[in-house]
Amino acid sequence: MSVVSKGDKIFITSLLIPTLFFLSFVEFIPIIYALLYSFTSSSTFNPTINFIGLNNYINIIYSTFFWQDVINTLEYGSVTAIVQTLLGLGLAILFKDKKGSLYTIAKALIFIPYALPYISVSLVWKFLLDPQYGAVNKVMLALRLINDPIDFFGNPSNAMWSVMFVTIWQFFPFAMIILYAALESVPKDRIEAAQVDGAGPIQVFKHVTWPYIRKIFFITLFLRFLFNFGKFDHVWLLTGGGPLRVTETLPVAAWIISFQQYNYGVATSVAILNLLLLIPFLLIFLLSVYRER
Amino acid sequence: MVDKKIDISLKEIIRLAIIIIMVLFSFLPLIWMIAASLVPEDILFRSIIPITTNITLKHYNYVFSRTDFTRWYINSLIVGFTNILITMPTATMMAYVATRFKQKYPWLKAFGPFALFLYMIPGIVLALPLVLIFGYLKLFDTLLGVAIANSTWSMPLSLWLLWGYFENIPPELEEAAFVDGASRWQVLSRIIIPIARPGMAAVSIFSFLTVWLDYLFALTLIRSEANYTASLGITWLIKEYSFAWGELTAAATLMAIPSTIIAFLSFKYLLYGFQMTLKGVR
Repeated sequence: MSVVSKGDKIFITSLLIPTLFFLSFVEFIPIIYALLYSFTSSSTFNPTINFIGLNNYINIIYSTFFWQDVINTLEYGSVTAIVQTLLGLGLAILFKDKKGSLYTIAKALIFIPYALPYISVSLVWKFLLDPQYGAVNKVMLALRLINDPIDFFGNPSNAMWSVMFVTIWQFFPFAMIILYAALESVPKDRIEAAQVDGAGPIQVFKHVTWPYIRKIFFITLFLRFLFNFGKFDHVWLLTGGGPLRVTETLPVAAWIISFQQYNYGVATSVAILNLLLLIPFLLIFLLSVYRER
Repeated sequence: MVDKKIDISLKEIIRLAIIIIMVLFSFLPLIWMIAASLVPEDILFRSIIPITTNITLKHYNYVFSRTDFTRWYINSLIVGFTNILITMPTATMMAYVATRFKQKYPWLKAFGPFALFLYMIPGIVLALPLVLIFGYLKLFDTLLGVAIANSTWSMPLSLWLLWGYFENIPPELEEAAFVDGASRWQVLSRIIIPIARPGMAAVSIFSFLTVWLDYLFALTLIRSEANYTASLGITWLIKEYSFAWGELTAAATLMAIPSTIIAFLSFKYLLYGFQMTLKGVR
């Protein structure tokens, strides 16, 4: 198989073309379009290409909302990623070496939220956390933990934490599964050897397990961060970016500017900036993962 | 009977307690949702936890008979299966070529990080221009359009998963067939695809789930009520009956059913898949 024959070339080309065609249609052309329109003063109703140079970007960078949105996006992305991954690791450690069917059912039950539609998740949590009717407030009032009901999504000082909480609730099972798989792949003989040498559980984790799963841990952390950095659904469904824009992340801002303020040019600029801000993190990630190969 | 040593050390009790708390943490909201959909509204508003013997199916009945939810639900299924049809064959072909010819064409090695990069592109960056592009192509406000748009997530993920999968199929299997004079096409259809079937099934499940969970693309690319997906349908219900929690939780429960089944059935396989992929990473 060292020589690629003409037949092979036809084979390769005909297998690659459908995907490449498709990817260019749904990924590359849209990005070029977004970039193109980000230099225009186009409206959403009537998209026309009337170039205004870098004006959109300059206006956005000097606007008050943008930097707050960047901070919100970074906060949302990083806090959810860190908590999910640590929570996932903690549970993975608890489940390590537990393969009984009850444990499998427990793992599967914990995993279910990850597969739920965003609309169902947001609906349930908006109800559970409702200040008037929500079960959480009712329980806390009944137990006298609080005197007045907490407005989780309506109060500006709680809203971001509440949105992050729901995001973590839905996504931490992913971290749990990946890290559980990683823990199970740590060679048993190394752990036993360390135990024979008199190492306690903490020392075994620190010197044997952790070096083995460290890479997977950081991959998971970064994947969750990058994914949540561009995530629209939870914020939009739970708060719509409010109250007082305290939960407004860049994807939500772009959507609002496009479909509520009808300013397509500015909206595509914000979306492009969202992508550009993500790229340095992505490069760090890819370089650190693939460098060692 | 094997006489198992019963380990009731404090450590085990704490471990079990935390696991039970986490299962409740993940699962109680779902139980609450199902319960809320089955009890009369006055009980739901009065009680802390909606438990009663007075179970009613009227909320479900209402959702089915008085709204278009059935149609929206079917729309979501159509979009999901269309997405599988688009993603699965193309991703399988590309992932296979990329793994088998990477010695010959080293640029194919950039394939893994490239798929990951595509997966990380914020949905909004694609959703905004797709409004225009689909407008030209008469795909705006169609189910096919939403299925295609969702492949921006399902395709990179499928490519990445299948990449790991094909890496684990030893090339010796094919080489024997080549020695026997089989063509590449025969090897692909008679050897590779049968072996890759579990991987392709997993990818199909993921593609379906992507669509089933999606909100952004449906919200951005669908306008007419007849083409709503179930997610948009629930949003419509929220707007129309903002405090009809019974109906809303009934619809949300109906949407959670396929997800829960998929999560339960695919869980063990998924775990195995991750373990295989992690072997590849190391």
